Amino acid sequence: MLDNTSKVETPEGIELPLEVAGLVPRTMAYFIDLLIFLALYYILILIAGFLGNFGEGLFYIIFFIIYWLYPIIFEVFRNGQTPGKKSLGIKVVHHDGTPVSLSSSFVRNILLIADFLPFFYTAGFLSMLFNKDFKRLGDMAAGTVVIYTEKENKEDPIPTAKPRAPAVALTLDEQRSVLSLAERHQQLSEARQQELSSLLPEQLFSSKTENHSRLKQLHAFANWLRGH
Amino acid sequence: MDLSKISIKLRPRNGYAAIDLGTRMAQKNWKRMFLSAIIFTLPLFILLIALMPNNPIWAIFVIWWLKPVWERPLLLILSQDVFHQSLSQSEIIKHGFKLLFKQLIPSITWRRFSPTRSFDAPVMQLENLSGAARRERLSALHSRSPSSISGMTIMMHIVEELIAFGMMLFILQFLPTDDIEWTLFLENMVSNTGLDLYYLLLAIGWYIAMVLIAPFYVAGGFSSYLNQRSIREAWDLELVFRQLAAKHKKKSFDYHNIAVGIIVSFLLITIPVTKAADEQAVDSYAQQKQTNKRNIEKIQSGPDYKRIEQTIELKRINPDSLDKNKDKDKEKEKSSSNNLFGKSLAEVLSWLFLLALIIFILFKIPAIIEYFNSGASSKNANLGSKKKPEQLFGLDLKQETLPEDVVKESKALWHSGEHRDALGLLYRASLSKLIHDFNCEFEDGFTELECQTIVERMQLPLASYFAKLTTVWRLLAYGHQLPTESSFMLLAEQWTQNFKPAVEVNHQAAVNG
Amino acid sequence: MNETNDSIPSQTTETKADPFQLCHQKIQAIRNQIKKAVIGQDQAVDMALVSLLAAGHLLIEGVPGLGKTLLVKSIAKAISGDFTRIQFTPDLMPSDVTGHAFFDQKDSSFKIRKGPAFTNLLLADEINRAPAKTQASLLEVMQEQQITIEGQPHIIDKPFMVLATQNPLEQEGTYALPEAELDRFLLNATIEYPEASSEEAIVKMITEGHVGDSFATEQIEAVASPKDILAMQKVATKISVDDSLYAYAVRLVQATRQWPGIRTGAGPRATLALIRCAKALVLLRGGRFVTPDDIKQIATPVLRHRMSLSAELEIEGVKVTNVIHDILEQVEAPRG
Repeated sequence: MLDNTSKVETPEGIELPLEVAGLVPRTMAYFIDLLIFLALYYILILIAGFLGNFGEGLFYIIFFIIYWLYPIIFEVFRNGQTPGKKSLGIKVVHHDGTPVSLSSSFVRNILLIADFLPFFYTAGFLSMLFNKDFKRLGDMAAGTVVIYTEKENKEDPIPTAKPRAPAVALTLDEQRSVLSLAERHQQLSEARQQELSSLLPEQLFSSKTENHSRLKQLHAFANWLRGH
Repeated sequence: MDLSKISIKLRPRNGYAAIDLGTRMAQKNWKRMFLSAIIFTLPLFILLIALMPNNPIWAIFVIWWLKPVWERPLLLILSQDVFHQSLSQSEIIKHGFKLLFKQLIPSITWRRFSPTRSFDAPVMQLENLSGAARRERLSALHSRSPSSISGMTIMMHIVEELIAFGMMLFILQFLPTDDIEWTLFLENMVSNTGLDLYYLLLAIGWYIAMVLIAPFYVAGGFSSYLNQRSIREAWDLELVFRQLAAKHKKKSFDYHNIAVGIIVSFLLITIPVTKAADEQAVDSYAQQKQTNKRNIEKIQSGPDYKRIEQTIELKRINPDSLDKNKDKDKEKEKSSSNNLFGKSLAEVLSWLFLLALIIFILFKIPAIIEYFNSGASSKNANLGSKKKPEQLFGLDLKQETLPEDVVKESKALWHSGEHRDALGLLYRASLSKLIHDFNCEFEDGFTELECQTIVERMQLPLASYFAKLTTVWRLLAYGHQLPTESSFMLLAEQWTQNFKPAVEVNHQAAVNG
Repeated sequence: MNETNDSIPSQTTETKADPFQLCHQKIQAIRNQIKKAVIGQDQAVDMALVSLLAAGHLLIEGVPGLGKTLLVKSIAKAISGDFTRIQFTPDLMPSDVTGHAFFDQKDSSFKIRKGPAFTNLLLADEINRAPAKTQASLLEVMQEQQITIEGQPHIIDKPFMVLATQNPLEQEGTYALPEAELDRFLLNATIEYPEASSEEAIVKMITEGHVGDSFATEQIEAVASPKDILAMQKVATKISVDDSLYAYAVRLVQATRQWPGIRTGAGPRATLALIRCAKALVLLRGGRFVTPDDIKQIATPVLRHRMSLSAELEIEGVKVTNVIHDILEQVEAPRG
């Protein structure tokens, strides 16, 4: 099964799926950061203009510092997110899922130079397109990966019904699908929900169930599965 | 064709994650897709170059314009792979050719610049919809589609351009002629002379970029399309429910399964198009329409839409601002020759500033490290040790509050039956003496046992007496076990011995030590 | 640390039926059995026993591979109790913890399949790997000591103790337990790497006369019964506590709320926990009454997981244990 995740195995032997982010959201995040950076650049030019020649020298120094420190500071102290990344809901972590460290962030951002090669980030783009975890060269060197920030662990509301256990023991996947059907009751058409519930074997329901009441029973199961 | 054969993990994804899944799909089929793209474009490209050798840009422009057409075989390869079917390369070419002419005119005219081109393609190519049916289907699918799809079109376009120029300059570097420089290219562009070679190189670079990017663009759109349908029609749930049903199938024959089974198969990827399939597709989409009508109302022009605007703005601003910078640089260069002294002064000053900054930081490092290491804990700790015991011990332990004759007072308390107070007074007086006369440093939080340890560590001669007192005190205070009268009296008598001539004892200790 | 209570000679002459003495002997026997298999983790063993005697639950932190499972297995064997283990994963469902009702086709009736939570000792490995819903089901069991399936309450046999492990790493894909929920763990023990001498002993023990590399719990004898444990839990409550110590415990817990650099301090449950644990510790050590030293000793594991630092302190690298240390140093101990 093809999926857009990268699997991390923990020491206890369980697998954590990290949802890795690819070229499109990352490039967009980069452009947003660039925009912010350009705004800073203009402000600096403006200030430097007042200071004359000395200002010009100062400008280049500050420009240099901001240019290199901007992503590093944000990534290390803001949970792996520059403002651009934050607006796209992505962040940098180590490939084992731990927060990015100062040294890794430093390496991946300095190596932006390598990704720029030969011109206009061609190496970076191609690397992100062809690497399995959408890493650019800097990511490979630093052992980092860009992932989607996890959704909040919130529960979608489900239609309330008196909790009831299904007549047949369900596997984990089946339990989640029943729960998910209830959670998506506002996104799916009534007809489609009816149709989906009609797919299920009748052993699941209390005997002699009319088709239209199946959905209601499924909602009862969902309430039961969610744990009263 | 049926969902149980699908080779991607079905689950509702956000818009960008769906595109990323597409990238993985393209990675998997990259060789075949790349090859097909070349087969369908390279002959035409060479032909066009041959026809108009002076206008290579026109040749590449034609190829670029025809993208929606030659992307179709790529989509064919992907759709086959997703449902675990594989056609040989020759079959792909054969079927691909047929596909090229399907709804050709609209595709390369008014639909050419749709920002959702690759997302829309499956509706026409795989569902075989046209005219009003296609329009309605698309509006249904678009009603809740995320901004990520047009975002992808814009991003992929920018990436393609950047790679095109990158490739051109890359090739330029390897050419033996030394009078070609890429800065020259920009000047030539302005003066519009001697550009033939550059244009040819640009055309080649662009061509490479196009065939490199196309598989990913097509896959991103297709994956987004699958994701949209999977979300709306809950394909992931259907798959699980069907498998569950199959487990119990033996027991009862459920004809619903079959009826629905047929409806679902409307995602038709078979190459020879059947009429029946067409009808089913329309059926299911009619059903779909109901849902979507409801859903459309829910859509708001929320943050999703704003994001598109942002990126469009970006695209506009970027080249502009870069140009401006270049202009400025040029101006600066001119002025710099006139004002060499000023510039070098600025440079010197800047370096001095940098040097000063570094020195400043170097000097500050120990302080910074200390600050970080100690944090609040050291601040608090300082408070503790600086203020010294008298205050921390509260009223009870201040010398003034203790009675003149501790032993007498304590004995009196004992006789009046206040045993605990009697022993407590003795103990507190000892602590007070230890602090004031023997310079014991007791933290506020020290327990009796910890005080005892300190006294022992200081090797004071009264240590053994203090240990005895502490033990009896703790037993009384916490164990509620009363000492015998004689043992209390003994302690009281010995107290004077140990504490009264404090100065002398202290002196003696110093001599002994 | 161990000599705390030993330095106080008991003044009452030992009668044979002294329950404290009997308990102390029994616990020492249990402790010695556990130490046959768990080497070099005395602190963790003691915390587990304190938690067992105080009828509470234990949160263990430490890198994997330091014998958390072995510890729980050994305790279970020594007290001849049941033992189950649940590995928490992102897809664990609440019913995987508690159990569920199912329909039996043969006699067409609902039957209950009891989950792993029906046991004496439950090792919940990596609770922060499961989503909040599943965590909540475990915490509920811990609190209520009963499980409701199909509207029917099922009471769990006592003693019931949950030993949950949590990895110190912050990693993607972990669901941190909310602070309010962490409060339900009586103690938070850490498992450290064993000292060199202990590690030597471990290697020696495993390699001599054993095939494979798993620790053997065979040599552990059952020296107590679950009933004994219940009796001992009762005795532990009878350990006497002077009033000044209640005030001291309250002072300590209040200090955690007012201390500079603390985001959230410990709740009122912490004060209770301090006293309960101090009593259990005293019983374990063979004393009869709680002293301020007992409270000080147990304060770090009781308070550590109940408070969190402000962002500034966290960035500065200050640990919760440092702050607790400061509090213990500066909050006035009862002294005469």
